[in-house]
Amino acid sequence: MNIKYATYENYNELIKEGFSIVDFFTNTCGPCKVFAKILEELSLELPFINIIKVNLSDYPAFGKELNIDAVPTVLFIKDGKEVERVVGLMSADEVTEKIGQYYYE
Amino acid sequence: MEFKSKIKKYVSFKNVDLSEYAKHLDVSKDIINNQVTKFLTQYASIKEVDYIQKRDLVELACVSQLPRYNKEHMRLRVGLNLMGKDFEQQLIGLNKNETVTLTINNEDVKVTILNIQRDVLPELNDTFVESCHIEDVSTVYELENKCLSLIYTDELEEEVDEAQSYLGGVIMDQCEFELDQDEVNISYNAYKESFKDKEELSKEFITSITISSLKAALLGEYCLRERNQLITHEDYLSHIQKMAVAKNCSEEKAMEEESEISYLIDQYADYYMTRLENYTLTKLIELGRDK
Amino acid sequence: MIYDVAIIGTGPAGLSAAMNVKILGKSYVWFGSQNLSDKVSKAELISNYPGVGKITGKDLNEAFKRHKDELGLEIIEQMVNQIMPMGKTYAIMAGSEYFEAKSIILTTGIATIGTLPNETSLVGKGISYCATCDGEIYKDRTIAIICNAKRFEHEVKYLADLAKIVYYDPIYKDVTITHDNIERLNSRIVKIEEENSRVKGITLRSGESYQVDGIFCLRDGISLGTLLPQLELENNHIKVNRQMETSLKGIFAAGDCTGRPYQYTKAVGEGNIAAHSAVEYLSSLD
Repeated sequence: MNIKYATYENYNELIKEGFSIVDFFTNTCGPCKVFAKILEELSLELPFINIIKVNLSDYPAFGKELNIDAVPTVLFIKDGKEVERVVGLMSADEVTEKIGQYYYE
Repeated sequence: MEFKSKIKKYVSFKNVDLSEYAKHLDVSKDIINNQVTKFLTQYASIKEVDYIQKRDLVELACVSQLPRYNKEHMRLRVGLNLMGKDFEQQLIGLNKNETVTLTINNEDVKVTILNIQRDVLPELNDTFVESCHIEDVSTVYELENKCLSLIYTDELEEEVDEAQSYLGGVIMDQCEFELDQDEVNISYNAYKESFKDKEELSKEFITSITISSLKAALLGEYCLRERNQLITHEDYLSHIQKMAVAKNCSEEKAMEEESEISYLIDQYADYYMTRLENYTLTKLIELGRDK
Repeated sequence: MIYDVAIIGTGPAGLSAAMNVKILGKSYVWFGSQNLSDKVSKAELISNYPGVGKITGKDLNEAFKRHKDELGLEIIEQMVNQIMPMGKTYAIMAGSEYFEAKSIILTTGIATIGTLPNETSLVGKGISYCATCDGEIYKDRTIAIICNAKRFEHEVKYLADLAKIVYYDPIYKDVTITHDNIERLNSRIVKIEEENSRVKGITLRSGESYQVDGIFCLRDGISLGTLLPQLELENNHIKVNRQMETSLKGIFAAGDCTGRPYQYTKAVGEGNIAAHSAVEYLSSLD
């Protein structure tokens, strides 16, 4: 599967090249679980898109460093640089639109 | 690490009759097919083919004045229209290694088809289902019910609650256990500590929780031993590592807070209760379909 | 599961909508209070409800409750804090639970939920309405909590267990929660200090200021502007046509939230119309 879980050690390595969708979530967040299913289905549709999940319950320092104030927050990253972020649940169509915008530009 | 406490007689939850908790469910063939297809997609194998059909995963090389269509290497799933409906429609039917010139927005785009991959869903039969190694699912019929459980979780919430309580009660009654006093004490003290704010909880209550969770843990250990998936000492150590980071304390302190026995009881009991819940839901769906 | 209709609000409009949705055979999820409407039960005397004669608000609310029980209508006592359009359906966040419905009937009344200036623009940037969702992000950090109902005290405790310092502004009587991390403020929070479009601190009526990393607003209601910013309003009411349709597809409104006169019989009538319109809308989806 092309969904990878980030740790403090590997985060920068995972996002440094290409287009990545980074999903920040916590263990107790309901909408995050819904979004996780949306990302899973998307990863089957587009197995070449880099999807990275960051568990803020396990790695809370990410929240402070990247200014994440609510979950779910999705970062769209190109070659290590954040190009857009969306706070809150996104529908599958909305994520696909962003992929169309950044990966296929 | 293994428990000193033992199960002397194990009774499987599969033999208990739950029909009085089932309610009739109207399940159409379409719904079943939909859910099963979603499931099978995870196991799809990829086959390389010669010509493009909708939903194929294609690799292309494109040359064009339009920057968006000027890529040495592009991958897309035909039909999602991320490169435009017009463009993707024209790809359908093209052959591998073929080079064509398409017109998009009045500009030429020279497209070479490098590779075409198609998802092939596995053939649905009992042998395949068994190979998936899903707990308590080994036939196509059982798989259908498992797939349906994703959509019936909310609707059957109450029925599952009641049936699961009943099932748990029957199992606890019919199984025979031999509990080690040390393990009971460790677990009792751990619960007492976690309930320290709740003075209204009696000793009897804490004792009964201690005993029932130890029993559930033994049942969980039994099941996981059958699947060769016992929890290892390494699992405990890595849990302690994570806990130490999260609580910003030393690993020694984390181990003091949660001993290996406590961790095992927690994990095994949780596993068993979850498995019971999943089984109950799937069983009620099976009974409900036929009612 | 995906419900046919979600009804938000358990006053007379909500009750009328819910009962008609059920009678018309559609699945529903209904958010509000098990006690239906405190507002109705506090009314002294109602004399213009046809067929009922002079009745106290208390008795009328009881009659509503009996009718609801007779029809077996069920209520989820969670506060709806977010509605997200998901294409063909709407995702509804209530408390920390997630629901999905094809259509929504808003019967939220005219309670003005006071929000702080800038609050709406900072949601997700330091302002949160969901303790269980976002609590862990503020582990070992400093937060402020505004709470307007006692029943949220367990969420306050949950947050106090996680955060390092909590500045607490309770807007209800009978505050019983105590915790090492909680510092109860002796003056109302009136302003949010922001920097770079993110929450930086709070200022009280007394003039004191504190630096905080985030603010949790645990309230018994939510302003429409936050819930559905795209909803068209007119004079602070939800704009509807005669079919109780709002400016958003699949979303209907009824009762006081659509405007004057603020009368029960109007609310009940509109609730009925909204239910029928929602059901008609559902058949257009097939």
